Amino acid sequence: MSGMRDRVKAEMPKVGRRRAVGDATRHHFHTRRKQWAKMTEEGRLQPLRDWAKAVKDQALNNNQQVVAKFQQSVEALGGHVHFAATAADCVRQVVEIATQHGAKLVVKSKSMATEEIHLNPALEAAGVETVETDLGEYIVQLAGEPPIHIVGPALHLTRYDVAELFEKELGEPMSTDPEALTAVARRVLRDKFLNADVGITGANAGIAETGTVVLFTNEGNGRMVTSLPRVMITVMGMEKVIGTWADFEPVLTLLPRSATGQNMTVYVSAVTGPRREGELDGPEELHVIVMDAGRSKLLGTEYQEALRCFRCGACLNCCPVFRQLGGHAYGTTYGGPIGITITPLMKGFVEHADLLDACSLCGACTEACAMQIPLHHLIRDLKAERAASAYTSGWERLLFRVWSWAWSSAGRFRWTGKLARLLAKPYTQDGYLTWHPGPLAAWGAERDFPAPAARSLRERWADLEREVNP
Amino acid sequence: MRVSFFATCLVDMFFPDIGESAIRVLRRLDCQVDFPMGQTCCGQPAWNSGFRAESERMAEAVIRAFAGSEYVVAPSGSCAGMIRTVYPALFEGRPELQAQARALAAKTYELTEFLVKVLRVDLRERGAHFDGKVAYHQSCHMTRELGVVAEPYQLLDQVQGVIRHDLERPDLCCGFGGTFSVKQPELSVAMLEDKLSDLDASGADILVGADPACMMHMKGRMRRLGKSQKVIHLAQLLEMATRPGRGEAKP
Amino acid sequence: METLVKQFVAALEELTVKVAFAAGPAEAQAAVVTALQQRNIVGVIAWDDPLLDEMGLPAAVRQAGIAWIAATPDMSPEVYREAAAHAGAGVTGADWAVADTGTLALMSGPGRPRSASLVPPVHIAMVRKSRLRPNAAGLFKELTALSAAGGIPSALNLVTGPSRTADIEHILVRKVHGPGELITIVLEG
Repeated sequence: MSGMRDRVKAEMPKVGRRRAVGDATRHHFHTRRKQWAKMTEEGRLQPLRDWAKAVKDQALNNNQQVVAKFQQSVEALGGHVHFAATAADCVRQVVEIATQHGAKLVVKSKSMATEEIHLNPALEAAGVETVETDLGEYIVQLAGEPPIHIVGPALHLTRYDVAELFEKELGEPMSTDPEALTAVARRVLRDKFLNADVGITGANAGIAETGTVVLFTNEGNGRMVTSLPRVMITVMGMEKVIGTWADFEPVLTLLPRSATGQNMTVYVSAVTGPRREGELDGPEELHVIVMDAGRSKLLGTEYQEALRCFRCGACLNCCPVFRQLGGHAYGTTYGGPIGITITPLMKGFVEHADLLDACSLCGACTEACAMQIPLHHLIRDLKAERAASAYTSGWERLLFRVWSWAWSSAGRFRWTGKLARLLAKPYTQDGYLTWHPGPLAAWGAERDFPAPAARSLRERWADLEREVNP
Repeated sequence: MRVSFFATCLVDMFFPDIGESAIRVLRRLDCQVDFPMGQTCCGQPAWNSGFRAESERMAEAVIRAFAGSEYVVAPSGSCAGMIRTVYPALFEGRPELQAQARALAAKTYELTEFLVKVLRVDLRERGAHFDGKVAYHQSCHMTRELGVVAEPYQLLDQVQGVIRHDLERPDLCCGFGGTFSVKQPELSVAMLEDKLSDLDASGADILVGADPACMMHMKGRMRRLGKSQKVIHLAQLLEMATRPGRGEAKP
Repeated sequence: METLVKQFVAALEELTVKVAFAAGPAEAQAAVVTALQQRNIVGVIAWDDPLLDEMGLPAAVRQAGIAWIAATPDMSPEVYREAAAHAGAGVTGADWAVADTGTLALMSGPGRPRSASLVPPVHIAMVRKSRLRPNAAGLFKELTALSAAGGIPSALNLVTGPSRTADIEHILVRKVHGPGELITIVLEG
């Protein structure tokens, strides 16, 4: 398995992609910041954030009851609720439902949960054509790549890339105009919507009291998927369920404003049970799979806070590391600060512990998080767990041990300072090192490192004291 | 007012000029400054890397060193932040040390914060003067952990001759991040490049910081590239601006 | 009320939604027929809804030589779908509107298929002024009451402007899967 450092090194030369990621995240960062500034001026940002946090905390603290109520509500309307303990269970259940209905074609609206469990290859293997219908997701599906960003799956690709992908797929020449490309996608996917047997969605929220699944989409694909196919399957993380419609208000208000900076997503679709008597559209059969896949490991721990995440992507857009890399380099479904936080916890600490090093602990994510998840504090706490475990390098541990021993006494501090100065002396020029040994090599490849000063401040103090305190 | 100066390890060992400037500025603002010799390092590198026991050990030394101080002032947002926001939590379950940590946290200030909030200085009254086009880099922990953002700008605005050329994103990380800078050097430098593009676009001649670690990082790259802008600590700018015979002589 | 309407219209215009006002059936008919004729639309799919009947829309549109297909509950779903897929516009009511975001709330039900406002390239929605709420809080007051009364429909769609995407180079493009145009007719009463 390649480590984070290797993936970073592999990503750095992809200058064009990285620039596209940088431009897009910067754009989204600024639109959100503008929207937040407006809300702050109106005096409603912080109250809304507190309200949303309280709603989610309440639901997470009572997750079992809330999910049970959700199930009861859906079943009372004739829908089906399934539980999936693992990603594999979830995949199996979806494939089973689809094949039971003899599905040939499945249309999907954008869903990170199904990305997380790698649903599409399993459906394809079962002989079910599976089509992503969010434009960005459709593009990356054609490109054979996972989404690079929670909200903008294809933001690393240019119009030229998209035109090329469409040409290859459809076998006809394409304009590179985004409007024309969008029209092509509309035409192609319209046909899929009208002929699909099954629609698969994620969920931005589940409302327990009425058994409602809520989807936010700008394009209308979420509405198509929940209106036209005969069978609808929703894959929803267990943390998405909240208690009541009243609880939904702060989520509705904050999510679009934090994700894209819009006042409201174009379409918010709340689906409550299957099609009813006398209705002409909507699914005749509705399945909701409530998925754990590692989430319950966070419940009741300090990391439960991370389950408040509603996947707005604001932490990716503000993250100076994510801006350089995009999501692929993280090697996980969720990149950026939220990915660094939840992936080691949900998917295995050992394999994902090196994600923790892809963070400078700048705290921009914590500041940008609408749900007030203390992301960089959680990342630091995870580092502490790593340091206390066997997964940390012996050298690093030894270094910190020796260093903290040395510098926890002023005498040793002075002594090591002198030693460092002595050792550096032959390699010092104009106050900077000319040689960068050991861990300094990584610094010195592209940056200069200062040499210790000829006289430390404490050594200057006696003179200074006479001068400044006459 | 009696002030104990917490140099921080970087300033003590690598950048004593910054410390001297800060001490002189405090003195000119009528503070009695001392330098407790028991001080070492706040322990932040260990803390940020997850080595809690190691950071605790260093915190204990710092707590002891400043036990008798009235105010503690540090020329570093992240180190002051470490003491203020982390120390009390470090000693959860050790009430005696925790009480001492809380007491230290309550009297510890980052330099610019101390000048504005405690001393309530108005440098205009002292005729502070410094000519230069200045961009200020905020530093992450100073901004987001300590919450000191307005104070450095306030001080800059009190110095006659300073022309602010603000960065577009003064709050964006420079890519230092402690061990991050050597664990992910390519990323770290790429982030730094963004910061330096921002600086170039700002038109400033002088990049001012209030955290020596970020300054060391930015300067290290700028020196390697042969960039013309200077990097100085705000304390150094204020020291030059308030130098006797320069500012104070004016009415 | 008038400030609320103004706010609503401003929000809609920001979203490129076209707005017309109608004091009564005659004006409503004129607005709808003109909108359809301007776009050379020859057939619409419409909700089978008392509000549209009250405004005399089916007759007026047919009189203008445009096919008006109402989604009556006795229609077969297949026929409905075919009609919707070929319609030049979808005409629906709206149960509420939210002034500050320019949002329309549409509840599904018999005679009120959810896709009539989605599948055709143009969506024309009629909403009464009395259904205007200032903000999300106003809407949620209605929704929580509805929920308490067991009246949440199988599909509630909040619609804020025409279908859009920014998935290619974050350039805003309208008319992805849903309608590229949304026309809102604000009715007195």
